[in-house]
Amino acid sequence: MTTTVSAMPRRDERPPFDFTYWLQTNILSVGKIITLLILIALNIWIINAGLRSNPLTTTAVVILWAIFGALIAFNMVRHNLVRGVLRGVKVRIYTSLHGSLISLFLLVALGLAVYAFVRYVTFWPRWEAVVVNFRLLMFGRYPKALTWRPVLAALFIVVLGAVSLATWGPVSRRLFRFRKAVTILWLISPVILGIILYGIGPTFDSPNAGPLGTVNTRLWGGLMLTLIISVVAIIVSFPLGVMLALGRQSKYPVIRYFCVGYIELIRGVPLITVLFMAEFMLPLFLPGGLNVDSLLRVTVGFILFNAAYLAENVRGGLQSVPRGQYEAAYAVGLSGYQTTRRIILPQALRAVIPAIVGQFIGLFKDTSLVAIIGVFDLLSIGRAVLGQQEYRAFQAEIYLFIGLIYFVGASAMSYASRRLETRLGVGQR
Amino acid sequence: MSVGSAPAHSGKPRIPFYRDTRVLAVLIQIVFVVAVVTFFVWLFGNMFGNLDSLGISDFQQPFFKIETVNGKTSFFPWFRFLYSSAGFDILDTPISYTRQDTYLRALTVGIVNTLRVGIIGIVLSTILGVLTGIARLSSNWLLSKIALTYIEIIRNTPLLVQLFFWYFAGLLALPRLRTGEEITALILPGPIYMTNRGIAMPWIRGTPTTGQWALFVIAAIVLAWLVSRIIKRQEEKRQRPLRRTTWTVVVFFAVAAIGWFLMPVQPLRIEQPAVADSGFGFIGGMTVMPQLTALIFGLVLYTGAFIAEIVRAGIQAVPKGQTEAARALGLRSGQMMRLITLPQALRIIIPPMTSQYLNLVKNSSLATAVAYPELFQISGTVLNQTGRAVQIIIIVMLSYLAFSLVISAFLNWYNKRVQLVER
Repeated sequence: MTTTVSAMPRRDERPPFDFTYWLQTNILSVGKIITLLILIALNIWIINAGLRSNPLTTTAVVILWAIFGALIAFNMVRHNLVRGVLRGVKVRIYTSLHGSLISLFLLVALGLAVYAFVRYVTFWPRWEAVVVNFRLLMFGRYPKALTWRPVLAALFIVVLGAVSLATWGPVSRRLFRFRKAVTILWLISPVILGIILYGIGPTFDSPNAGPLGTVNTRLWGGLMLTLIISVVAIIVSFPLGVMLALGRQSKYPVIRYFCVGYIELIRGVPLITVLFMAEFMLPLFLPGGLNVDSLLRVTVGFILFNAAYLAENVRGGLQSVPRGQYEAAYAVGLSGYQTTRRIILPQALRAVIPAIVGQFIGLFKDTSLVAIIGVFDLLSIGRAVLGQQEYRAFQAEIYLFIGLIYFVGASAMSYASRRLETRLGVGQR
Repeated sequence: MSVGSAPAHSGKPRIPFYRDTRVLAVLIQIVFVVAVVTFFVWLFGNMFGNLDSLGISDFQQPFFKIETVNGKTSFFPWFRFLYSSAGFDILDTPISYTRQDTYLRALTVGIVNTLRVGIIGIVLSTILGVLTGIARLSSNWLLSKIALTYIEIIRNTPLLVQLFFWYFAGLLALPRLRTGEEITALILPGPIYMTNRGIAMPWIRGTPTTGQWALFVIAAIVLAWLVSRIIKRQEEKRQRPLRRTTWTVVVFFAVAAIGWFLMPVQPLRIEQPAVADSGFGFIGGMTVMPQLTALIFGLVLYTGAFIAEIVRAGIQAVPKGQTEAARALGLRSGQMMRLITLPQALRIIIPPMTSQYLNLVKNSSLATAVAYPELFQISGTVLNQTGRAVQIIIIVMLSYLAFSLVISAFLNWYNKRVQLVER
C-alpha cells in the first residue's frame, strides 16, 4: 500500500484539474459541438424508445452509466486522478465526453438487445423443432440401430486430432517418433472412415449382414455428412495443393503453365459452378455406365476447388523461404526431392499455417453449398425439416441452430490453429 | 567437337542420357504433356460418346459456321440453342425482356443482374467494412468489442446459412401489407414500408428540369476542379495551406445551388411510397423485392466483416512513428487519418481487398438459394429447359472469369498508382 502511494505524486504536488483545458479539448470547436448535439439527439431517441419498450433495463443501464460517470468526473475534478477499477472503466468506456455519450448509446442498445435475445433463447417451446429433429440434423437418415458407427467415426477423428496435437507439441519428446505413424493414419483415414460409415459386405438390412453392413450414402446426412465432406476434402486436397504449388514453382515451363492455368481457372469461378460441374458433368466425362456416387462426386468437386486455393497459400510460404536455404541444401549435397521434403516444405508450411487453416475453415463453411445441388448435408436437412408443415414457423430457430454448429466448428478450428502456431514457434525461430 | 579431342574424354564416364538434366527436362515435359493430353482426350471422348447416347448431337457440328437461326446470325452451331425462345419469366429485369425473347437475352439479363448486385455490394460492403474496421480500433472498448463480435459471428458461419436466415427468417417473416382492410406493414419513419412482398422506401425522382440542372452540376464540377487547381498552385507558390478542400466544396455546392434555385420547378424531388388502391403493392417511391434485399444484405454483412479485418490490419501495419510524427507536426486527428495513415494503409489494404471484391461477385451466385435471378440462377433454368449442360457451364464459367479479370485488372491498375514509387 505504501509503495503505491509513494509512487503517486502527492495530492498537493499534482496539478489541479484544468477546466479550461478540458473545455478546449472536449467542446470548444464547431465540429465537436455539432457531433455532441448529434450524439445527444441519438441518445435521447434511443432512451426514449427504450423507455417505451423496456423501461426497467433502460433505466438500470442509464443509472449505472450516470453513477460511474459521476464517480469518474468527481475523481477527475477533485484529485485530477482516477485509480483502480474506476480507472479501467474510464480508459475503456468514458474515454472522453464524446466517448462517454457513444458508450451510453451503445450500452442502452446493447442492454435492450441482450434482454431481447435472452428472452428469445430461454423460451424453450421455440426450440421444439430442433429438439425433435436433433437426430435427423446430426445423422440424416442413417439407420438408428447403427448410430454407433458415425459416433465411432467422429471419435476416431477426434482422437487422431488430439494425438497429432500431442505428438507435434512439447508434451513429451518420446512422442515425436509417432509422427510418421500419425501422418500415415491421417492419409488413410478416408479409407477407414469409409469402412466405418459405408461398411463392407451385404447391405445392413439384409438378414446376413454383420455389424458393418453397407449403408448407402443416400441415407447419410446432417452434420455427419458435412464433417465427412470437410475431413475427406481437407485430407486429400492438402497434398494436391502442395503439389500444385510446387508445380507452379517448377523449372519446367510446361508444368508451370499447367499449374498456373488450373489454379487461376478454379479461383476465377464460383465454388457452386465447380460443384455443379462435379455433380452434372463428371458423369459425362466418365465412360458410359460407370456410376459414381453423388457424394463422392461432390467431394471431388471440393477437393479440386480447395486444392487451387491451398496451392496459392502454400506458394506464399514457398516464397517466404530465403534463397540461402535452397543454396545451403544444394551445397550439402541433398537431392531436389530431399531439399523440398526436408528443408523447404517444413519452413514454408509452418509460415502459412494461419492461411491454410483459414482455407480449411472456409472449406468447412462452404460445404453448406451442397444444399443447392441436393445433397443432404446439415443445412439441407434443416431445410427439409422446415419443409414440413408443422415446423414451417421455426425458420429462425433452425437456421440459428445450424449457424451455431458452424460457428462452434469454425471457432474450434481457428483456436487449434493459434495453438499449433505457438507450439511450432512461428515467428519465434 | 573434333574427333581428335575424343581421347581426352575417354578417361571420364560419359553421362548417360537418362541422367542428363538437359535431356531429362525435355523428356519430363514431353511425358507430362502426353499424359495430360491423353487424359483430356479420354475425358472428352467419353463426353462426346455419352452425349451421343443421350441424343444431344450439338458437338457433331462444326465449331464455327455462319448461319441464320430465327432471323439472327449465329456463328457457333454448338451454341445455336441460345437463339430459341426462352419461354420463362424473370422476376427482375433491368433490361427489357419477355418470355418470347431468346435464351441469350435471358442470360444477358442474368449477367446484368449479377453486375448490379456486384456493384451495389462492393460499394456498400466497402463502406460497412471501413467503418467497422475503424470501430475495431476505437479507444472505446465497447465499440471495439461490438465490432469484434459482429466480425467473429459473421466470419465463422457460412454465407449460405446467413442468406437463408435473412430471407426466410427475416424478410419473409415480415408482416403482410394488409390483413383485410387494415394495413399491417411495419412502417419505419420515412416512411419505409416493410412487408413480406418487398420494402418500399422514398426515392429520388427526376422532374422536367433535371436535364438543365445537370448542366449546372457539370459546370460546378468543372469550376470546382479549376478552383482546386488554382489554389493548389497558389499553395505551392506561397508555401502555406489555403484551405483547398473547403473552397472546392464551397464552389461546387454554390454553383449547384444557384442552378437549383434558378429552375422554375425543383429539379429533383423525393417521391414517397403510398399503398396502392388495389391493396397490392405500392405506388411511387421504390420497392425492393425481398430476394434482392436478402441477397444484398447478406452479401454486404458477410463481405463487410472480412473487409473490416483487412482495414484493421492495414491501419495497424502503419508504423506508430508515422502517427507520432504527424502529431508532433501538429496535424489534427482528421488530417492525420487523411494525410498520413490512410494513404499508407491503402497500399497494404488494396491487394487483399481485391480478392474480397472478387469473392463478393463470385458469392453472388448463391442468389440461387433465395431465387434471385442472377446469372447462375437463370443459367440453371436454361439448363433445365435445354439440357445443354456442357455449353451452359462453359458460358457461366467464362462469364465469371471475365468478371474476375476485369475487377482484378482495374484494382491492379489502382494498386500500381498508390504503391510507393521507390528509387
